[in-house]
Amino acid sequence: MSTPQLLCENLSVQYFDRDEPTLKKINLTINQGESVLFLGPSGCGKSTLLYTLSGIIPRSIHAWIKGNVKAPQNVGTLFQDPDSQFCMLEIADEIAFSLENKAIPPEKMPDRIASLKKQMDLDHLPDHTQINTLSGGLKQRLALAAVLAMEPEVLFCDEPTAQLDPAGTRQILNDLSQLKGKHTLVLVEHKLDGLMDWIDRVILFSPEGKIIDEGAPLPLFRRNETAITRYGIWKPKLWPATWESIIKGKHPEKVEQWKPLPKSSPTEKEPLLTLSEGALYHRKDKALWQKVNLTVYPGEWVVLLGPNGAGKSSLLQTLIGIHSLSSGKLSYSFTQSDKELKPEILSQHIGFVFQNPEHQFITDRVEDEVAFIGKLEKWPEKEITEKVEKLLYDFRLLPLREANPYTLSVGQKRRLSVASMLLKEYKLLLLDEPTFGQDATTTEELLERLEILRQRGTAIIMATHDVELAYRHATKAAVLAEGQLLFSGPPEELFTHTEILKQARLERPLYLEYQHRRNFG
Amino acid sequence: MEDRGIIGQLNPAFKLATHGFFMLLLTIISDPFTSFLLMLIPLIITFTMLRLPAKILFTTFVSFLFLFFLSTWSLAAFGRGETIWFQWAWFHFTKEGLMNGLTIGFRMLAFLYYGFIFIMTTNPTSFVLSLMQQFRLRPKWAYALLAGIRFLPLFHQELAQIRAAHRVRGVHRATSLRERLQTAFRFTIPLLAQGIRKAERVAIALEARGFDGSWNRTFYRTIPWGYKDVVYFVVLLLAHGILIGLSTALGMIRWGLV
Repeated sequence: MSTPQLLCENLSVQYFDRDEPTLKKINLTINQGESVLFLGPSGCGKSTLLYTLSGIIPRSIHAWIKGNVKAPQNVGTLFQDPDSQFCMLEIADEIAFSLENKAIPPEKMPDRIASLKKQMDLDHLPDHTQINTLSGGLKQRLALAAVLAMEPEVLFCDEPTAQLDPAGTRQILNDLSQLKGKHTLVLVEHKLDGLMDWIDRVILFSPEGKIIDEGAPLPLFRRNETAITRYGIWKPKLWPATWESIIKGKHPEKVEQWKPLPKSSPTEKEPLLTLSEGALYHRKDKALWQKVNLTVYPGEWVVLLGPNGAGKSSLLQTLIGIHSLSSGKLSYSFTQSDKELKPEILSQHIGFVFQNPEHQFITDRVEDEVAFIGKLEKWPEKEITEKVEKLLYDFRLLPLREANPYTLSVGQKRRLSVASMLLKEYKLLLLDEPTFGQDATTTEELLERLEILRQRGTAIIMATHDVELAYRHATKAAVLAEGQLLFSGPPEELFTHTEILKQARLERPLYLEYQHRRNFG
Repeated sequence: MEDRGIIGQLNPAFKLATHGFFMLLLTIISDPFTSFLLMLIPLIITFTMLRLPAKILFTTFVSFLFLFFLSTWSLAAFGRGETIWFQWAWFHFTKEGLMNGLTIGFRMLAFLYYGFIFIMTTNPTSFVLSLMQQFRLRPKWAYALLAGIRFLPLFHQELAQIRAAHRVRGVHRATSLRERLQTAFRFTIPLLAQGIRKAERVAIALEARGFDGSWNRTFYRTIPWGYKDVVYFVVLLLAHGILIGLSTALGMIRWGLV
């Protein structure tokens, strides 16, 4: 019943610009109709293996290959960046592009396009819909439809949800689960919830690019719990437990981890930031958001929640003066007039960590990047050196001090972008999805640092999708969705408003889910 | 833009070629009167056949007129010539200069309107597809061009983000010339890095979907051409013929490159 469809024997792959092979002597067989997940720390070569099996290496990406690879000709690949897998402007053209490449007669195309749209739940969108008007989740769905148009025997997915918000992620993982059995599926994915209950086999990689274990997900996770923790791989939220055993009280340590941290309420009476009736308009007639009221005190940790495209980033950027309010009033305890509401002045009191760390790099050495503000403000040389040294040490960047920021890994870039905002003690720190795409270890470290800052009196406003973070760390939650601030108040209270959670497409944090399930069975 | 109105139904590649042909014709006419008459053709097409909102027609008309005066003035006031009308400071008005300026001005106006008609009535996808189907542009280049068009707005957003990030980090506070040059230079690095990365990803994704850049493919959308395209060319040719004939009869026409 099980015919091997993908096979590699003694496979080694080395990129031309590396001294070491990324993959060493991999042996692997994947059967027809199987769903397989590649799991491992970042940089372990799991994507390289996926690219080699799908033929992208060496066709599009060049590398030395040793050993045998056997794979069918007809395969499809879904990639992580929803914006860079398209070449057409309208959705029907995009699906047709795959069919054209296979030289399908044009008269057969309209039916095929219609049925693919139906299969991927895109049939509510007219054929001429512009791709750039779609949300990230819908773009990925369209990309999937375009890949399925090739009728692939094997479907490869390289972190298909990496750039999606939680709602988009659920959408795509659900779509993929529907394809189980119809195609052989090979996935690289970090978000394991919504995946573990239907995947057949997990292949676990060590950081050095070796397969250290494989098998059904549940036993594999049990066998390798320590290694997985050490590699900083995101674990499924409940694992190794299940709701059933947790409610029976078998895992009190897990429940303990979900509880909110003790939060001292701000002591100061005077607010640091007051935004009243704020609105930002897209064009003259179209509000991105309006009627936003927000007050932030020193020592508060505010999380800004809401779906992608709701305007979280633009709100943060407005707070530092990059955009000016279309109407309403913004004031800080350290500003006297509206004239001071521009980044040149506000950035002396407010730090800002951008969503894409690369955007804010302005020097070509890691060390200079951290020291930048000190040198700009002409602090004494000795003070700069001492502080920079400590930050580099704390953020594990000391061995990389001479490196160019652009050559760092994703996690290192993020750590650097935060470190460079901590040399000076700002009154307010704005962070735009700082934990997005980060591994478990980096995220945990980052949150610890922020908590220390907060206790020293820095106010933090952070855009995020992570409801656990919001529930555990934040002293205040603000929900931006449908062009308005739907909620602003204590996180504990937010998660009791089911209507708001639904509107903003937010899930309940685990601890509340636990209580809910315990109380209502 | 969309395939708008009657002109929008023409084949984009042929439309471009037709416009190109008459723009070339304009370059070998060197008197202002004939140039003015011929300029009226694209102008009238724009105002009668594109069905654009009056506001757009008006604003483009005003801005094109501004460009017309600017170029005519600069050629008339600084151009060379025998018959001097008046001279003041740097200005040096001559009859020849003015004639020359008007010719170039009307010519430019005609070019602007031909370009405007093309842009306002042509969907970029149809245009690239017809370049491929009628003018045999290799699919490799054509689809790269389409993918590039998609990236323009993304690039714009990216640039805005980087600019914002640099303002926040206090780059503006760099004062010396050397510091400023350094920062301006650094501006381009993230943009280029991101651009190259995205382009690479698109290339990989398209190849993974079976695209090989060759002619071994079918077309979902065929961009047709037919009698309408011929009619468009012939009508324009007739209009030019009549106006040039009229100008010849009046003895106004002068052929030549300048």
